[in-house]
Amino acid sequence: MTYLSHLLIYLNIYVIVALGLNMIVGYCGRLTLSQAGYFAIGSYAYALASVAWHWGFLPSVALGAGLAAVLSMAISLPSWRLKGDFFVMVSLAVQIVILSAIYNWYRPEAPLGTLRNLTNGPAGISGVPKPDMFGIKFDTVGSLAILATVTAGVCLLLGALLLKSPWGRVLQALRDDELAAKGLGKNVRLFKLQAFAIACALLAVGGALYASYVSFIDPSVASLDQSVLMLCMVVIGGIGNFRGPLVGAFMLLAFPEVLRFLNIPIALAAEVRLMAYGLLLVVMMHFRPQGLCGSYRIE
Amino acid sequence: MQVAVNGIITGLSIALLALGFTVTYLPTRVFHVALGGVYTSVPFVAWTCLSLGYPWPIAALCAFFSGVTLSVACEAFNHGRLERKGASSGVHLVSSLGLYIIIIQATTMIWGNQPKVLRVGVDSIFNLGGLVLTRAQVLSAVVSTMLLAGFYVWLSFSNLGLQFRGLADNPVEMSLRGYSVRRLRLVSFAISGLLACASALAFAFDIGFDPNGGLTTLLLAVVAMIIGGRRSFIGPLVGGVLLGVVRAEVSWFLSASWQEAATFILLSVFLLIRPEGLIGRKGRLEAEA
Amino acid sequence: MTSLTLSRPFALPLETTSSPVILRTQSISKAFGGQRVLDDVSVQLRRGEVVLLRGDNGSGKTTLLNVLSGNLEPDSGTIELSADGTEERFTFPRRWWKTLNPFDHFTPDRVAREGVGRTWQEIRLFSTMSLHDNIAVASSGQLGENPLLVLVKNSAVRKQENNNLAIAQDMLTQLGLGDRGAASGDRISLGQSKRVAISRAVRAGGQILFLDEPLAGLDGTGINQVLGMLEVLVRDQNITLIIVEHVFNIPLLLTWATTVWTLKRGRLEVQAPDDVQEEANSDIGTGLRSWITELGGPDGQINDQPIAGGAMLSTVIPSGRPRGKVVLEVRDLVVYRGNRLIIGHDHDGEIEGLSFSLREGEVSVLQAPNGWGKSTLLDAIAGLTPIRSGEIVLRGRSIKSMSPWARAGYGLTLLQSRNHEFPNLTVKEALHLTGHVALPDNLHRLLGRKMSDLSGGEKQKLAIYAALRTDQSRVRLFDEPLSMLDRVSIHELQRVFKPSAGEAFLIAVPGSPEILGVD
Repeated sequence: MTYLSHLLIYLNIYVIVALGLNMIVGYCGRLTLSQAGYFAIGSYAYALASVAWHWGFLPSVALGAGLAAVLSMAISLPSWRLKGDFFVMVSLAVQIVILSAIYNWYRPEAPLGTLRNLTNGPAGISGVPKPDMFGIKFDTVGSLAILATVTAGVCLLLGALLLKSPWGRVLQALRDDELAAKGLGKNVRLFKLQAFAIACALLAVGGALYASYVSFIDPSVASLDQSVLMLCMVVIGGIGNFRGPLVGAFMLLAFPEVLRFLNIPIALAAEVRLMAYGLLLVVMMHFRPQGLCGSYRIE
Repeated sequence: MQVAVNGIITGLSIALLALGFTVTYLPTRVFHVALGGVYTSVPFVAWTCLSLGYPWPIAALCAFFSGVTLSVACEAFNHGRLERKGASSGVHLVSSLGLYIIIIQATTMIWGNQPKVLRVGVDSIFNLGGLVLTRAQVLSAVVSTMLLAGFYVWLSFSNLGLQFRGLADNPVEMSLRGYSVRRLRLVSFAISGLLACASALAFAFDIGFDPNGGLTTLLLAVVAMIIGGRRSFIGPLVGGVLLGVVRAEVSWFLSASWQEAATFILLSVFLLIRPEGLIGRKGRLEAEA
Repeated sequence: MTSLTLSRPFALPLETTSSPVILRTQSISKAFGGQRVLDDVSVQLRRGEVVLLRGDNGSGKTTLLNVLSGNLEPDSGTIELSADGTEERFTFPRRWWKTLNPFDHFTPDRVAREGVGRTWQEIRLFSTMSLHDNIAVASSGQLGENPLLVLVKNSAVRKQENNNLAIAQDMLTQLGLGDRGAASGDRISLGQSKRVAISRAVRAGGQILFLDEPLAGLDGTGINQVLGMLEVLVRDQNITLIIVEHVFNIPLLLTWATTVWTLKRGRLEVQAPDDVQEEANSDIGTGLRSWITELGGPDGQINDQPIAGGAMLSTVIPSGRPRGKVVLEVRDLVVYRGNRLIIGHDHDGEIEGLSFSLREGEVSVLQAPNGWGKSTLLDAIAGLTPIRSGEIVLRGRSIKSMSPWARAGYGLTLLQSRNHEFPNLTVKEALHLTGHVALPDNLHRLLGRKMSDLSGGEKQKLAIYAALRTDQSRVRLFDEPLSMLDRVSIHELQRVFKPSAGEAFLIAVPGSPEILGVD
């Protein structure tokens, strides 16, 4: 039962991440590699706020989401000028800068939470407290699973509302033919700003949830490998609609379990998993570029 | 002055990789991200040869051979086929990312995750008119310069080089004139692998290597290409040297951890003010996003 | 031709009307790489006008269209817009502090918000959306496009959206597509999609509509439908039109247009339609027909084969000897671009392919209107575009699964209509790549120059000579070879299209046999 709750928590985190990433990749039509960076911003903001300043669950999550939304301009502004391939490289640069910032923003002698030490550097932040909201302490795996499911549910609801609204429709128009959308008077730059901000905020919410569950985060949460895994999730599952990301999230969860089933030795498990993703990416691009359940082919 | 020279030498190495990337991008418009995988895996091959007791030239040869073959395989089995299906550039990019992942994981599985070095002990030092250079640096500078010069001579004066430039300008017209675009693409991926190998071995010999930094280093190469000018073959050289110098100066005056931020700032400035790069010419307005 | 009679929106001459000026340009100039495409263009537009913007290919019509719709910044000049009641003035070159202000750029969406709309030759409907959504998305001032309002004031957003959808449905019904609202853009005919695109631009609040070759590719019914729609727009909604059209469709529009803007070599001249009528009729057709006749020589015969879609294949057969062998045979060729049928004819569900053959020593001229698919046909024969079905036989062997370079090696040459240069190579290098090119003396001066520095005309001439190189080629295809050239060069080059004994030429030219008077 505990194990299932554990899986459920991860599934919800992946669903939130996939929802956010789908907005960038599937609705703005931009491939990106900076998602782990924004995920990490959410994790670190949550950890910092709850450990150093003793904030509650909702304010800490909100801090992460807000920060990520503002910092999303690091990739939304370049998206005004750059197309696909070069945009990916800029997003990679943003990823590296975020990772570098997290890795380096500390002084050994300064306490966590002061301006000179925001991240504890390579040591990471430990002892992140379990969420405590409205008097309820979510300290069992089961209760955390419920919290995670509710959070994911709220995000999905907001996501559905937005994507099925005229705003979602104009994003689709933008993606299909930006020039034609501009010709209709649509302020394309503004919409991209908004979409990236909301997407990065969602990624940060996923990161905050992650931090609240595992209680210890370090710079590896912002690693490039993580970004690649997240991208695999949406590309393989499919983008541009609602089903695809959910399928992708499920797959990302199920895959390691399948590997465990096949008795791959633990030492090689991580590499085999990643390699399988790489292979899946290549194969999907040849035979099914819209992903398993997506409705939009990568341009 | 010392810092600047250090920067130029690393810059030449970046320029090699940047040129390798451009050599595929200009003619085929493929974002050869897997080149980062070639860059990562090649020093390991050399290391194995050296560990087995083979002399340096053999190790280098094996390394070059494996790198070029790997790069060509990317085109032969992946990009060439996608091209024939009329795949979009995003599809090429994602598949190249997939290839990169496969190469890196295979490398990690075979050789492990730990950093390695290609030479043992402290390197010998040369004193050149006040400047202090290690043997590795001199070697790197010499090899980079020769390879770059050789490439530009080949490009400008040989028949195949002319065909290559023709391919970079207009692949459709080349095919209409009877040139096998398929064959020329393989040539471009081969040269790309060659240049990446040289860059990788130079760096590995100087500092060391591990399976993890491939994509990050490739990013440097792409930034160099963008700031130098991505529509020509000279752009990457200019951009690479400039980037090397900037990073060296930043590392000296601030600290090594500021290098990434500096690279990003430089990239942003160029994208904002001069997106066509130092050498580039302004394209038509609707060119990008 | 068309059976529609269009009534002019108001009497001429224009200066006497009291209609306000809604667009004014002063001294607009634009150069591309040394070539002046727009030269000191000053013009004004009054509400309710129907302007015909005409000019040869390469005269700058598309550039002017792109400038006025915000897609391109001119090098100098000013543009004043007052279509939606507010006056906006854009001066070029833009001052540097203005480019830093993210809200004051000269962009298509900014210009569109001032009341300028446009359609494109490629139509550009949003492909993953239904037709209904295509029109609904265009409406301006949607509350639902603000994500904050979607979350916070959802009921107001929903109410406005329902209203918006109802209006969009009405517009579709008026187009006769009331029950096709859920279909996507590629499931309707070309004419219908053009009209949806126009509706979309109107829905976005366009008071001035720039229409880029709206009649290209349409048959008689389609033309009637589009013109009918435009007439209603001008009459009932007081919309001002600027129609860019190719020379062959102009006679149709001249009876309706109020003004004609003629672009020649970058300079714009405003004329009244009646003055242009004579000139227009003589521009087309007769020159082409006489050229074809001239090619045949005094005793030559001309074989005319009409082709579905308003095209004609005229083959010039030289006299004095028996007809040459068939060197290229095209049988039942069907070519699609995406989901749209380009080559081939749809007989109520059954697709009939295109068939014709070329013989040695003969020149065949394919005349077809813009949008018919001339380039697609030639590209398909050369291997640049895949074919859906049919057969292509060159020198007795099927080439349909050969790569383009293999076909070139086997004896096929193609001169594309554009993009046939190597911008970074010198002329000498480009010719070296091409093979044995016999360049006339007056072009030898170009050898040392970089191809990107040449003018459009010079590049075109080089391309023609390159396509006529001495090699083993047996079939040479030319896609609109003379379109970018001035009259003198055309005369000079028309003589050049004489195939040698073993060769066949196929030349695609824009034209409409109806207008040529050929049955």
